[in-house]
Amino acid sequence: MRARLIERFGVRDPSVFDLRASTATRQAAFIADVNRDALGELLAKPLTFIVEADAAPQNAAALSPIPVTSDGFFVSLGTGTAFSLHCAVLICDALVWRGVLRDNVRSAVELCLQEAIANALIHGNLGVDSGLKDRDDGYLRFSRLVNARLADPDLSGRRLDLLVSWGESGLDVAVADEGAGFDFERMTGNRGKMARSGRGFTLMRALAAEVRVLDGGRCTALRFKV
Amino acid sequence: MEFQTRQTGDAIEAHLSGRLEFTDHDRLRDIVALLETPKARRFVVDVSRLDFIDSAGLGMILILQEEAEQKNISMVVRGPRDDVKRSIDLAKIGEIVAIEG
Repeated sequence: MRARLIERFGVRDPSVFDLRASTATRQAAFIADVNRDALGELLAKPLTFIVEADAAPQNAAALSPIPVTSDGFFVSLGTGTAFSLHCAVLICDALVWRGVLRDNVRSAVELCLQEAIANALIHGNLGVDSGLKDRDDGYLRFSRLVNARLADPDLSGRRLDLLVSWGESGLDVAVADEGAGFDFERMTGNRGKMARSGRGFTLMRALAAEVRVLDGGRCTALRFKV
Repeated sequence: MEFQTRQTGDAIEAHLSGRLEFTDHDRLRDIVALLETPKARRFVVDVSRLDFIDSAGLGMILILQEEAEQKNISMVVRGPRDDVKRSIDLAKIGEIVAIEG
């Protein structure tokens, strides 16, 4: 698990996924058939790992060697599940519950998470290009393609990993997908003000203290002052 | 996102509520269909009961604007507030779409 996290969240900056739960309190939940209520309930517990899976790994020690320097939690969901939940809302609810987020900054964090998660699911794991929407009837084609890919078990089973940690430097959230990555310059360059997509990074850059794209576009690391 | 429709004279109003976000593209078709209303000349997208909009939702507003233009219908977005107003302002949607307080 650690190797996978290092790979997914960018080897060059392992501090992104440092979690300080002591071994004694570090607890994991593996759940199948995730729904909004179930995930909300789990996020309202002092769990460190919440992983959508049919079964817990036989070797529970697989989760233990995560380095420990800050508080946080890790959530890993299949794309189909994540698409059907309001993940950004649930994560922010959990951060409020844990006393990390105050109401006055919550909405900025929620919008940034929403943008990063939408990118990870649609462009990353489902491999759908938003440029489709710029053509006539493009939004219909876009919508059909998203639904068709969600129906493909290989694509809807790809993971969305969310690593949330907080400490003196603020709140860090890394959002990672299993897609093909993307060309950051092309995605965020000047596409014209009429373009029907491409504003997600504008919003994230305006509202987060720091936005980094890691792992060839498969991970967006956000930092907030909270 | 949920929406309700009203028609007054030559104006069609769509009153959006809830969250307008990347999972709502399927619903957009139903709003675009309102532009087929006979004799419609004005289209009001009332967002005063919308709580949240993401960049995909902003893109949907632009899609509505282009669809309305193609039918010679003038569109206005009415009543953005709080987080919705912030997103519209940050993305400078007001430079492209008429926004009414």
